[in-house]
Formats: sequence, C-alpha cells, structure tokens
Amino acid sequence: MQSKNFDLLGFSIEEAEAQFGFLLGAFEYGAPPHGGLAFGFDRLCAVMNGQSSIRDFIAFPKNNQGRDMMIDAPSPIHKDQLKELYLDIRMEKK
Amino acid sequence: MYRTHNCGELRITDIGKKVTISGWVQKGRDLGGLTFVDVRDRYGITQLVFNMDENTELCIQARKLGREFVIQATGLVKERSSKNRNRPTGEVEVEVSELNILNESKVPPFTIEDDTDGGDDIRMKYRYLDIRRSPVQSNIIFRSKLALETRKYLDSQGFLEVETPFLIKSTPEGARDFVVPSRLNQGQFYALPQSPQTFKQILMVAGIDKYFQIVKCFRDEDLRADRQPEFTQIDCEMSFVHIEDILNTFEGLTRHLFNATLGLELGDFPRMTYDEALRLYGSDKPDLRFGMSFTEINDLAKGNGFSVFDDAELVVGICAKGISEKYSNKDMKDLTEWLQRPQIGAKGLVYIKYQEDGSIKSTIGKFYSDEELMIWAEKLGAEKGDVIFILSGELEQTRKQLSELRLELGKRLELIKAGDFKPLWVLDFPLLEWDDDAGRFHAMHHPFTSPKKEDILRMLNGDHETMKSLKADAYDMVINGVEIGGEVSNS
Repeated sequence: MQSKNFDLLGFSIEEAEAQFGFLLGAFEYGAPPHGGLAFGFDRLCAVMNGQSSIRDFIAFPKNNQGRDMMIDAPSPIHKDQLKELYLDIRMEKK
Repeated sequence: MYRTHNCGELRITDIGKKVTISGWVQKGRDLGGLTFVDVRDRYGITQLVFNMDENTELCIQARKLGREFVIQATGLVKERSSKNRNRPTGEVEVEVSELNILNESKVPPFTIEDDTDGGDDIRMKYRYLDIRRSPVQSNIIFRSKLALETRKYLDSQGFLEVETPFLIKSTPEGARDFVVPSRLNQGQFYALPQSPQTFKQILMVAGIDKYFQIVKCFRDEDLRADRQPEFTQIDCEMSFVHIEDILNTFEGLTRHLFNATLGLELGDFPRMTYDEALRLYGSDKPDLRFGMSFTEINDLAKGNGFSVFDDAELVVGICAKGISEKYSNKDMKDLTEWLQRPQIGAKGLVYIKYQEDGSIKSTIGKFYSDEELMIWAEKLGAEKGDVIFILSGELEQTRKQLSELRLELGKRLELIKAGDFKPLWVLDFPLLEWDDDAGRFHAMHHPFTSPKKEDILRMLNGDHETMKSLKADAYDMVINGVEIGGEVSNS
C-alpha cells in the first residue's frame, strides 16, 4: 500500500528509502495505529479575534518579502563563514 | 523598590495611599497651575498630577518630560475631579511628591497610542515601540493565554509535550525547505522542519502514545500576503485511536480554548464531507456564518437554446434574501465587473429578481419564460424580494467563482455578525491531488496518509481518474471560512 502510494507520488522505492528510510525502518518494529492533527496556532489566534492577519499575533513577524525589518535579516555573511561552510556565492546578474 | 503598584491597578479604594509607580510617559498636558502626565505600562495607564503652586520645582521638571521617557513617581492617590470612565484607573490620580527620570527617550517615529499614525514598515522596524501599543500587546497576551490553555487541556487529556529537532533532513515533498549548511560535514545540509510530521509518527512507534508540541515550522514559500516563513503549530499525534477519538479530542480542545479565553460555548461541530462542501459552498473551507448555499440547476437550465448554459458543465446558483428592490442595475453591473476581474475571471453573471410584486425580472428572459423561472426560484428557495445569482461553466472553476461571489455578498450585505464563530469538520479529503504542471500527484496532506479502507482496492487497481477520486481518512477543522487544522489518521 505504502509503496503504491509512493509510486503515485512519483517516488521510486530507492528515493523513498533515501528520504523516509528512517521512518519506514521504524514502522518495521511494531507501529501502533495512530493519527494526529496540526492546528495553525497563529491563524487560530487571528480567527478567534476576528482578524484576518496572522502577523498581528506574532511578536516579531517578517514582512511580505520575508524580511525581519527590525534586525534586518536575511543578510550577507562574512567570507570566512562561507569558507568554513565550504560555500561559494554566485550572484545572478539582474 | 521601583514600584508598589503597576499603572493599571489603582482604584477609588486606594485613595489616601502613598504609592510608587514606574512606566513610560504616554503624554503630558499643562492646564494653568496643574500639569498632568499619563504614565503607561503593560497593565494600564495612570494619571499623575503636579501642582505648580505647591511644588514648583517638581512641576517644572514634569513639564520637561518627553514622550516615552521612563519615569518613577511617588505620591498620594487622590480622587479625580473629572473622571475618565473609559479607563479602569480613571477615577483616581497620583499627586506626585517625588519624580525620578529612569531613562530618557528619543522622540518615537510614530505615536504610541491605540490608533497609531505609523505605517506597516515603520512599525515593523520599531517593533519594540509597536508592542508598547495596547492593541498589539493584547494580541500577545491573548496568544500567551491560548498557549497556556492548550497545554492545560492537553495535559488533562494525558498528552506529553515532546520537543523534536529543528535541524533535520531535507525532503522534497510539500513546500521548499529552508536549509542550513553543515560546517562539520562538508557539502551537507540540514533542513528546518516544515512540520514535525515524521518525528511525531516515530514518537508513536516509540510508545509515547499521546504527543503534542507548540512548535515553530518553516516553509520557504513564494511571497503571498499574510504568509510567514516561520509560523507556529499545535502539533499532536495519538496511538490506538479511531478517527472519532481524534475528532472528539480536538473538538474538545477547541471548545475549551474558546471557553477559557472568550467565554464562549461552541457546542457540537457540524460535519460535512469534502465533496459536500464543494457542492454546497464551492470551497473546502466553507464560511458557515451565513447561508446562501449553492443549488445546482443543470436539469432546469439546459435545453432551452441558451448556449451559455447548454455548453456549461455546471449551472449553479445562490439566493440572496431581500435585495430585489434595493439592488439597482448599477449594483448588478458593479457586481458583474467585480466577478469579471482577472482574479476571479467569471465570464458573466446571470441574475433573476423575484420582485416584491411577484413579477420576475431577469437577464435571460429571452430564453426562459417567467413560469419556468418561477420553478427555478422555488428550487433555490427564493421568495418575493429575493435575487438569484447564477454562474455557469467548467465545474471546478464555476464553483470557485460562485464561492467568491457568495463571500463577497456576505460582506456587502453584512450577513456576518461580529463575534460569531461557526466551526465545522470537513471530512474525507481526496488522498491525492493532481498537479498539472508537474505531471504527477501530490499528497493532499502528507505521503504517509492512507486511503479510506473502502478505497484500498480501488487504489491498487485503479486508473488515473480513480486515483483522483480516492478519499483519505483526512480531516480539516474550519472556523469562519478559515482552515485551522489539518488532520490525518494513519492506520
């Protein structure tokens, strides 16, 4: 069943194994029937207060460009940091 | 000691007490021989008064206080001669005998009052000043209380709060991951979790039985209004439960939260299948605060030579109560243009007015007799004074457009009562969602969702259309047209 599901989702067995092998492995050791749920906590706050924006319920939100205007993030990092992370930055010409 | 009382707690019963309070200067007013200063903290605002005749030096000092200076004032609580009934501390003031400036402040870039003159960007940049404003502060207080009540309720139901890691493994499913380069493992990356999905399932294998977490999730999504790259979920998972147990638990949690924070009793949540929700409201998150559900009228509309309807996959209408006289031709034109905007993209709007005098006025009179249209009116539950709006075209698109129209009418006709909450469960979501662009299916919830038992055989043997119709034991809680929670059972 799960392999059919992966098949439909466009995963090969090998890809599924590489991505979710740890979970599939865990399921081989006695997985109980289970189910769950996730509530959007910011959204719940907004709805309960009759407001449409979740931003007003987050102490330090990001703007529509994904920026934190207060601390000015994201930002470039020092070249030494890049070096020890084995990263090169190639900027796209605009 | 910086304070004996906060700025929100002095009352008429405190008259005569010597008190010390600390806070920020909201504003000052000089009235002849008296100077008034409003001092604010998280708990409220208290008025300080300085008397020029009685303490000249102190009064001059008070007159020099700037907005947002941090001060400490000691004095006697007195009854105010002109009371401010809108403020809990409005019956008293503190006649100051000692004033300390604890810190000065630059002039803030916007006014720190309930109605601010600050734009979004400037308020975000100076968020610490924005948070001093009481509307923002009350949101933060509400959030804190909601989190606390969530923990109380889930604890009472035997849940354990378990933290799961933020540095995890990137998976291609869902939205884009935020990635974190690893310094110790050259060329390798962690990803920040889009949700703790895999870990919570592993916790079930580990025998934790009932898990929850109020947890940050991260999604690197394209820019859209009101999306945050990091957001918070109440994440839960339970073992040895049927769907009914899960629904009851989280309906219970939601009822508890509304009761504990707003003092509201929500009652039992109605349930509706995904297919029903789309058929009746054109949306998998219907707003049930007002009626106006859809009526499909293919059987009545087709075969009269009106090609717009004859060629349509779906002809569907809604009935708006009591607006036939007040909705003018101009209103109709306005509404039609609203629907034709590219964001909605309807070709046109057909309407039928069932007027107060019992006559019918419509945009399709050429093709349908009044008698025929009376039958339509009856089918849509229209009475004298009502207007029927009809859209037609391809099924999914038409439903979506009519859903937009329904919500817009709800707004324009003021059908939504402030403070009204209408929760529901939407059940039996499709297992898979076809992505035309990618040419493959996506998991509607997550890749470990099972199909419903009765769909298992169809899944193993079905063709493409069958796959689209497979249903999962997947559920959403919707409140006031907003999806609050997604839920999945993995058996």
